[in-house]
Amino acid sequence: MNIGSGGIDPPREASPKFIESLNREVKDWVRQGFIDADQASRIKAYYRSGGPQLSPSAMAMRLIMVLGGLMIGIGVISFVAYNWQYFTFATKAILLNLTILAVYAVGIHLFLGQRYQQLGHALIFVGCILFGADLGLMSQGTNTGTGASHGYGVWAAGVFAVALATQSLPIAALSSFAATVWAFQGVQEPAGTLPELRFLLPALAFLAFGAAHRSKPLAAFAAVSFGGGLGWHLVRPFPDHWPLAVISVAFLYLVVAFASLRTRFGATVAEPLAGIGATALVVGSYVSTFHTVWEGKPPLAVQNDSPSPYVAYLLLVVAALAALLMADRRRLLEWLRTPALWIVVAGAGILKLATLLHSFVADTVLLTTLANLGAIAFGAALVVDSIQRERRESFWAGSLFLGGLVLARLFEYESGLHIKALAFIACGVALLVAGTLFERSLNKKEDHHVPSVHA
Amino acid sequence: MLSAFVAAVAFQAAIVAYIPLQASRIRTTGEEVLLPLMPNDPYDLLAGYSMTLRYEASDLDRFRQTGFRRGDELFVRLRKAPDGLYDAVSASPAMPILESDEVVLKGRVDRFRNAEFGIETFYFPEDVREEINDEAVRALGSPTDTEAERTRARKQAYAEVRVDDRGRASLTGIFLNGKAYRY
Repeated sequence: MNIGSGGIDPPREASPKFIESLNREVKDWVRQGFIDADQASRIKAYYRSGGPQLSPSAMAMRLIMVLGGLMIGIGVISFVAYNWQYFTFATKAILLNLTILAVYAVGIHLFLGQRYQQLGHALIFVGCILFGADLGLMSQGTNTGTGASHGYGVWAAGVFAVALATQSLPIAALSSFAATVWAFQGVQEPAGTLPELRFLLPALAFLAFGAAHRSKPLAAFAAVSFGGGLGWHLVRPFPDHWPLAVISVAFLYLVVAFASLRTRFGATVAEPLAGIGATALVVGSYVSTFHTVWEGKPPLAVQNDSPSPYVAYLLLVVAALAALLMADRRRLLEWLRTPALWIVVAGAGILKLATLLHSFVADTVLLTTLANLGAIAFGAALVVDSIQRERRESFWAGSLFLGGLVLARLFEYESGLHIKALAFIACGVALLVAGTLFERSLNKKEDHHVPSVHA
Repeated sequence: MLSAFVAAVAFQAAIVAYIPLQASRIRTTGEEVLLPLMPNDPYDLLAGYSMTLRYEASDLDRFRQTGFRRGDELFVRLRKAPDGLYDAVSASPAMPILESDEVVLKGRVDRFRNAEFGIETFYFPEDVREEINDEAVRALGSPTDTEAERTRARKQAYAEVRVDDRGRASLTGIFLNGKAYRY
């Protein structure tokens, strides 16, 4: 279809979310040279935000209904809460379960209908939360303790079933929250034959769900969950080697990220895996450096027959080979020309330097400063990458990483309250100023690349 | 989508129903066992509207069987004493063979190397919180009490539990200074 030709149909209605996504893609197409600016503006003009416009009185009625409904709901909940302690367990159970069924029934009816789908979706979400409360009530009523039991795991499973049925990402996110609590309960109170399953089962479930929905946050959660389980399995026999376990898992992530690029799920999972892998690599290396500098442990050397260092080096080699084989030459050269990559390499070099100098330099303050500079380089690389590639995710990830690093150092070192206060203010002001400048720069570039054409 | 949603809700309903059904089955078919309570850290005694219980049977140091690690499953054999309460006799990794006056409790080793049976939390209404707090402090004493004081306190504080033939337990109430609390 020749987009630039005449005889185009009248503008089509589309949801605001689609239009926002289209604008982003069109900008990328112009940058890649697939289309020119004129064609881009024609494509954008072809779609317009749809949905009937409500009259002022209809909007007022809708607002009155929502407010009135809210007040009634709050009144009912307050009445029940006030008298809750006087109800028997059976009464409480009946009340709560009937409420859940009613919420689900109304929710699914609206969700499957033509209108109020968002409201229906929200009601089903509320129903899933009430399901968790119901489990708590049943435990209370029977004096069943939590401890090493599977309360949160059961909640996660029940909510995941609803997420699958409704194909809902927010409900899947709620399930992932419950699964995370269940997994960490397992770390505190390991029970059963394979407590690592608390990490691995959610990882598999959410990886499949996230990949099917092209959801990067869920894919990232699945990756973190899997890595958590694997890392914990490596660490349990050798607790002191947790930075090395983190580095090993990080390299595994990078390898899988490269490998996934050639699959249909590459677009969804590669970026989160690479991001988590890179972050884990930096954190593991950073902490490992401190173990060396402050605690005198040999860096990345074999201790007590731990396999972690060998696994780490092996995965580094595999990751490098995979990158060379699987990335096409054009993309590989593009990466090699990225300043951000070389900043990361420099940061890694600084970290390694701090470790190597430990044997010759007794000044731990100098070495600690070098280690902190290495970590700062990572955050700076993300910000540089965001400016070069106009990516909000990289900018905010880098900014928050830098702010978090500065504040974390302040709380670890003995610094007075006034220093902490100044640091908080400085980080906050820097974030606001940098964020504002970045967004303005992005908006200017968007206006420059794709001039809007009003129909 | 509707049928899938109904199936998911049915799955949730089955989970919700399982908890009280399981407890109800144990309470209906299980044997009544009275377990002496031990003093607990007073700052952890009451957490909101629940009370953390600690049993004599939870203390693994009293048994000759050692080598239990955190997370291990274990079976604690209980024998009925002349005063009607049950004393822990031994702990083993497998179900033991029981005498006629014995029952077994199935549990796990927690991070403090105590046995946990799933009956360590007792919930109660808000309006009896103060009363239970006062009675518990009087009845349970403190961890630094002498052996004689603990022997006297034994009949003042104990839990009523139902135990089935597989060692699974359900807490039905507690007794403090002769008063029964069942919710």
